[in-house]
Amino acid sequence: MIEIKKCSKSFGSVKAVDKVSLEIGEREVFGLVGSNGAGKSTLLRMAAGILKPDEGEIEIDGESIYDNEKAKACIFYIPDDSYFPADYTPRDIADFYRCYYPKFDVQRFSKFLRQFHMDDKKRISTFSKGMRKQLLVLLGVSAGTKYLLCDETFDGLDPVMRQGVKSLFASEIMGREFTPVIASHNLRELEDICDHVGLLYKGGILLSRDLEDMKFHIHKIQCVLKDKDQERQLQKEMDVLKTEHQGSLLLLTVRGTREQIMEKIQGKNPLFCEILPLTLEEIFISETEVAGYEIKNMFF
Amino acid sequence: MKSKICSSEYVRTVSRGKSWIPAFLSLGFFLAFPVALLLVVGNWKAARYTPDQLHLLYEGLWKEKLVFTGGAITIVAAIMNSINGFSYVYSRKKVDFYHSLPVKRSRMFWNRVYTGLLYYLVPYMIMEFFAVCIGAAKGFFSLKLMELAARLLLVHLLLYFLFYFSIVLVFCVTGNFLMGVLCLAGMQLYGPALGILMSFCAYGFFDTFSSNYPYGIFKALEDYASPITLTAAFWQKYEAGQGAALAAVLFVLTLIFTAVSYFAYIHRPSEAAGKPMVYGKLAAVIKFMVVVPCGMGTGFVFYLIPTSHARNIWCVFGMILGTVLAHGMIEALYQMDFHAFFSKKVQLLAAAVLVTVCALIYQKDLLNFDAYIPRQEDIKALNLDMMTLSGDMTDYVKEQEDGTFSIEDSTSWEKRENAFSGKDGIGEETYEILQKIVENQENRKFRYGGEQTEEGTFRRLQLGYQLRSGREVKRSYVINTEECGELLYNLYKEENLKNKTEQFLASDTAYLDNISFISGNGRGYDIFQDHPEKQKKLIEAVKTDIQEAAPEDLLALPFAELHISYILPVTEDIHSLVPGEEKPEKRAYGEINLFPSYKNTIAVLKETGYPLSFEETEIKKAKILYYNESGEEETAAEYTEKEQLEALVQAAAPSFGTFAWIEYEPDVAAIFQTEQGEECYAEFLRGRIPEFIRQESGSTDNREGELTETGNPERTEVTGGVDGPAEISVEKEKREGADE
Repeated sequence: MIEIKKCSKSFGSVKAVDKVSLEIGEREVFGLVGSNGAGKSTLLRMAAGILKPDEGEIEIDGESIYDNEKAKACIFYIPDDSYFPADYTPRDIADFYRCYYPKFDVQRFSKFLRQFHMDDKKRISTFSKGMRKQLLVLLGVSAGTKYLLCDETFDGLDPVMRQGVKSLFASEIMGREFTPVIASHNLRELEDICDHVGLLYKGGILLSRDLEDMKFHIHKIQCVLKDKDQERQLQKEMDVLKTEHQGSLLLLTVRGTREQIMEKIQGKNPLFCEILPLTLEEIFISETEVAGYEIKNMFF
Repeated sequence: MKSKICSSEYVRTVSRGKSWIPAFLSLGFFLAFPVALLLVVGNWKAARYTPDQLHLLYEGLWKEKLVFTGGAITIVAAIMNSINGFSYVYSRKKVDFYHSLPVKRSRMFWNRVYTGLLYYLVPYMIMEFFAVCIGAAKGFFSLKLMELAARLLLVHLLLYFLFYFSIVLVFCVTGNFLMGVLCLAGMQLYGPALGILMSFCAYGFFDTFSSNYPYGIFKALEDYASPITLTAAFWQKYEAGQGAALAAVLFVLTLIFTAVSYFAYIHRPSEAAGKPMVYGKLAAVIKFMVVVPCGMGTGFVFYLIPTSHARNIWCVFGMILGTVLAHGMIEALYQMDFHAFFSKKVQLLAAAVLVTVCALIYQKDLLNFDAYIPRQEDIKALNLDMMTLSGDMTDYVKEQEDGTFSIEDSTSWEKRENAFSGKDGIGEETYEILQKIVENQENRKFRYGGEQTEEGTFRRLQLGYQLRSGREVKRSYVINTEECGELLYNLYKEENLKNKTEQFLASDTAYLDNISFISGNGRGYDIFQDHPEKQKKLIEAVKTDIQEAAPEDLLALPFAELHISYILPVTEDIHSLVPGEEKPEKRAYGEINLFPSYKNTIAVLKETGYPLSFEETEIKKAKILYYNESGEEETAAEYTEKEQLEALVQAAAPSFGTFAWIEYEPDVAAIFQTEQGEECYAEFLRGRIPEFIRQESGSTDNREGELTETGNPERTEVTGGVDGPAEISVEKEKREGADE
């Protein structure tokens, strides 16, 4: 488990991360979302042991990460802006990582390269940005580390590759102890891969929830009731996050399981009723609005 | 994993794409060792050196030329390896890449040092081995040579680490290449530049500062306060076989650089990549270190330009300008923004205060530089420039244990080993006269020496105090004739001033080369060339006379002078080897004033038949020369009457030298013509000038003699003597101040 305890980091007068506390569990895909400058990269760089927190501590399986070989051996960091030593080929970089990561599986890496149609003898400097990111993911998976920290890794990957990487993560999670942490400013990108999501805003963590849990406990209802009193009663009985009207159609975003919601609506004998799934973006909009934040200020 | 990153496999892996570094260094060391050796050894073939000389030259090659050629490539290697190993800290991408790896910073540091060392050491050792083999193939091989090769490796290794860690330190405390280059240049140049600035300021503001002979902090800053100057100083000493002390200094400095760069690296925040400076406090210290000297230097330049009294105001203007400019530029560099030029005003104010304090130290002599004299009990010995005091150009000659001699010319007076002292430091009276000289400096500001005034003649005396603590203090005093006489008197009485001449004459007369006798009239004769027993007798007589002479005898007016040269055996020196010469020799030269008290010497010299003094010279005519204030000949008057000529000869001083303890008449001199038509130049002793000259010197319109405009007199050379060839040289030009 990665435990981030009241971590802060400032760059001069800019507070990039402000007393963030977060727990990243095992065998889950953790999405770290936030707008540009929210502190995602800084938090990941601290979690990778690159930056030393000004305050607080980051522990990997109970051990402080900064300048700790043992803890850092559990982590592979994929930066947003990738670097490879000059003139290195994929095979060279695999040899390089093999010196640092004892569990690095060269054979598996070679197999991945073939699967992803990458030439292991070609200089990495000739690769495109997307290919470099793919390569880094493959290296990260082959390194055999428990945690893979990906900073905006899906940016620049084409949809096919993105799907391939998602499948790879899924199979890794199935096959061994593996926890990818993916930082992105794109909520839609994380929706179909993350199990847990943390939202960073202005250096602070706004919320951290299990995605399924959020999806399971928040629903959008479209219904038409007989009169306004029933509408008012329904709103009182349920934990309503948002209410909208489109003519006689009542649109509600409410907390609760599908069954609990249905039971309460059926009790009002609606003329029409439908429960709709929420996108991750809609869930965030609702949650953050409840928390008093204007989502437009965060992402747009 | 720990062992893996020091393994050959790891080195091979991280060296991918970097094989050009060892390849380049191999080429460099190939040129520095085998090629350089072949070129130099090839040059020896043409000259007919003896086998011993060749062996000496070959040893010298390993102690000198290869130290330099190999050292140059070593410094290049240190620069390349440090850049290769640590320049990544300037790039955020690279920092993220390397610092995310599961390895401790400390291990990463040593690992990079280790990899760089391999890139350096492997080509070095291979090429040095080649050089040894080439030497052996040419017949140069011995255990001593192997020792020299091993020592060369150690010396170069030390230099490698010194430069390597100094550059690594720069990488660790700076965040971008611009600041890195500036800091590296600063590290190499700051000390010497500061030393030069301090010397210039001291020269400008302190009247007793000895600018020609830097010492103490001035010398330390100029010669040793940067890795490059320290290395140059070490190379010089190493060539002479005296590099142990400086090698120890280099070693300590290398350790300091290693420790500081290590701590700076492991504590370097990763986010510092791209920032100008990594450590804020260090940045502030560096800023003050630069701004204060810049303010001082600019102020000093503005102080020098004007000659009016307004120079102090210009100095203040320069200080303000220099301080503001330097502060602004550094802030602009630190913040990478010209808008920051006038930021951090409190620091600017603090720098201005420091500049003011420094300026006051110089301007008001707050450290009491000019009035300082070490305590008597602290002074172990004195170094004196005897050229100023007595025109003494006698070489410093010392016999070595192996029977050879060390010979240093009279300009070596400042060396510690050439100092004068009594039995236990310097005596009471010597110290008193020194105190008196120091006290009088206040009234003699800005005299440059060699000045003849109505008050007397003033000269600049360069003097060094050797303290018991091992420290040395050098000063340049303006002294008058009386002080000069008193100082010499006490140096003869209480110190071992006689020893210098005695040491010179102590050499075996078998080594005597030539003795020239310079009469009081300036004419010189080589004497006793074919009579070695007479030469020996003369030397013994001089030695006896010197030994028996009282201090006051040695302060009389010399009547003549002996020029003595020895050809002495010296230690073989590779710089002055003469091909085929088995035993190297060198000429030692001495000038010995002869005083009237030297009865034994006079007795021997009488055998030559030459006129011993000016009085014994038959004069036919005298031409009196008058000089204007700027030292140019103005008019001349001639005298031929016997009584007048006798009076002039009585008042004339010997023409072979100007003696600082004798007061001369200013602005008047004479050219005497002998019966044989030869001419000799003479000055007059103060107070003894004949009345008829005294009257004329007051008014050139009322002279009895015939007044004529004069041109530059010519030099006369005569060959011939009583017992062999002799050379007479009469110098007729006006002598300049002896100390200039």
